[in-house]
Amino acid sequence: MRKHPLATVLSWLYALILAAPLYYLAVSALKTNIEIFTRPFALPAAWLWDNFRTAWETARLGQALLNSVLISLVAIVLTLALAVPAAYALARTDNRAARVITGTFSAGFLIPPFAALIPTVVLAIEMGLFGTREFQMLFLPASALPLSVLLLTQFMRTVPAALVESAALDGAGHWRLLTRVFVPIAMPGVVSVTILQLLTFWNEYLFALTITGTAPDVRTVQVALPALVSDATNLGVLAAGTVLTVLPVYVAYSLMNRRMQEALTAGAVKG
Amino acid sequence: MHRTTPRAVRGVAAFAVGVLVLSLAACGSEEPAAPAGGTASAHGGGSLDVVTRWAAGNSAAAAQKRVFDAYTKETGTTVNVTEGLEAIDDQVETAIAAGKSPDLVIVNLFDKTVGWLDAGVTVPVDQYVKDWGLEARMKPEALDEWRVAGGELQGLPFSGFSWPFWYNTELLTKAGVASVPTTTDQLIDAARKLRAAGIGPVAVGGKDWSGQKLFYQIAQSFTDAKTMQKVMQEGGYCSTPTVMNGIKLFTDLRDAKVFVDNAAGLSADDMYATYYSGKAAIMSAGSWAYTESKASGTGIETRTTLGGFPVPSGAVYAKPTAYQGFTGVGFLITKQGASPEKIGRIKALITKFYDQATVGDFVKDAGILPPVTGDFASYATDPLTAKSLDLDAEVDHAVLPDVWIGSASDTITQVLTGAYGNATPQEICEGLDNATKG
Repeated sequence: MRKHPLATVLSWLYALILAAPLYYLAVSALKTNIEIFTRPFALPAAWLWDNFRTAWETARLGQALLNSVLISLVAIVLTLALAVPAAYALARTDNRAARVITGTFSAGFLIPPFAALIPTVVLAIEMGLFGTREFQMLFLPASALPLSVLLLTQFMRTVPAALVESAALDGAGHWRLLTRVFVPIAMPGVVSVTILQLLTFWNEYLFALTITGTAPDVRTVQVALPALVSDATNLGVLAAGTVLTVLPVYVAYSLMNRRMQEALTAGAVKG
Repeated sequence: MHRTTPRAVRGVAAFAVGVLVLSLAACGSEEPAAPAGGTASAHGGGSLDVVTRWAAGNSAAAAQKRVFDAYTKETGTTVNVTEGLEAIDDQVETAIAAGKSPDLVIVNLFDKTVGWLDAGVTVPVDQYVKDWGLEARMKPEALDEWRVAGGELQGLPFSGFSWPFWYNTELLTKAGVASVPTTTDQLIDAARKLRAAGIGPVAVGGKDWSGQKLFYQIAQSFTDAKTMQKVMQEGGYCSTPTVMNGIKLFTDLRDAKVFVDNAAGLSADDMYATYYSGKAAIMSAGSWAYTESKASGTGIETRTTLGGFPVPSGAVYAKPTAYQGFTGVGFLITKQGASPEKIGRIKALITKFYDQATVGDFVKDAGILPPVTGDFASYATDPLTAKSLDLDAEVDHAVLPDVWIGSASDTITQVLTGAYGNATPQEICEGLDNATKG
């Protein structure tokens, strides 16, 4: 089918609108403060690549990136390890208890993060995990479970009953049904939840600042970045630091997005 | 269905992943993780936990690091440094609640930190100042600014600042302004000429602290210091005629287009960039910006002269006004830091900061106003820093609002953003009274 020229123009316009902030961030990372304010969208008069080195060294972004990667990876593994079996159980059960449990998970959305902050701080203190990365690794999956379970439950409910019965007749137990039938079919959902929650974990700031803290050896990249802010901030260096913190997310998203497309087109049952 | 990978292989893989995760968890640091307040190892000995406002991006951070390094080299005591961000007060309070109090907090007096002595977070330092031989060297006005109402010294002031008006003499000359304005009438005339020449007059960040400070500087033009302090602390803007006159002066200047266009939407960063790039001829900025202005690479420091805000007729000040203060950054000693096992180390570290050469290092790097007496001219290599050391003869010092408005600061800034827009004097004073009374 031939595309309407207007659709092409609007598509490009939309892409430009989306790209504009990224372009602004990228060029700002190579400029002085004055250029950022006086020629915001122009290319840099002098390309200040040194801004990246300054940001990296000043905010100790290497250690902060490692902390963020570590926390995000452990948290996402825990999230999936808990959410996938829970979603499987809820998807396969249609009784009053299942509906109550689903409702309980939904209630998690009603609690705003700020309301949970103080109890969570107290919990961290009581557990002896205040000021550690380990608490964040445990807390993030807990906060991600409501959405993850509900999303995965909906994906798993699309598994045809006949397929489940057929596998059961072949002698498949719950573990094999989960790993060989439900997860492959719900793989787009698993990848979606992974992308969504990884982005959330990576960008989390409030709890990371309050509980994990700002000590260089434990702080996440979101907490390290504000160390570049002062009474007279070098915004070029700050933008360079921001680019460095966004890059891993962009790379992870690109890779996982492709994986999601493959999963969507690969068919139901493999292997 | 069949397994594509043998069970044993998958078991080994799962074990390897587990080991990897545990290894990664351990590899981040060789020491126990340090929270906002510091590390657990500090309680054992050989270290001090310090939370500092001078984060890595601050111009004073390098000089601070040199002090810590030299201290560790001389004493063998490790300094566990935690950078305090915008909410450094909350960071410290949370750490103390968690039983991980720092020993020393290097911070400015603002918002919650002003109440730390009363709350028992920190200890009074009057006796330490005497015992450590600092009293004779420290400027009395610096110590006075760190006293609470009862007279106790809540911390040791270190980073003083001057906060003058900056005038780009080249742009003033270009616009036909013969000399730096010293009266508000001259300022209005200069603004008109500058605008006619396509140059912005006074750059200010109307939506943040820079706008707040400029407003108060103007608003107190007709009010004596004690009355102004009382109004800032307790309210009464609308009911104090001299303060109302000051607010009217502010709106008159605003309506005469003395401030750059859209000032209500600008931040301090906009202000710096506008001034450094020569798009505005005047701004009000503190001594922390001296080194940054030079680093901007525009040569603005060579075209700038420092002065004060022009006085109106009938003002209580004889000379143009500027701020000066010692509430920039100082040392607050926590209860843990004052414990017998820690106080000796705290003394050694703090007194090291007050060495002549160390203070000079901060003057050179960060343009601080020295908290101790002495000749620091040789350290003021930056032209603006050198000029600011002689500023006292040219200006009168206005009352800096920080300590007096306390925790109402953020709300007041919101009110004043409207003042840089089109709020009337009555709306402004009512907003300030409401913000002050909470």
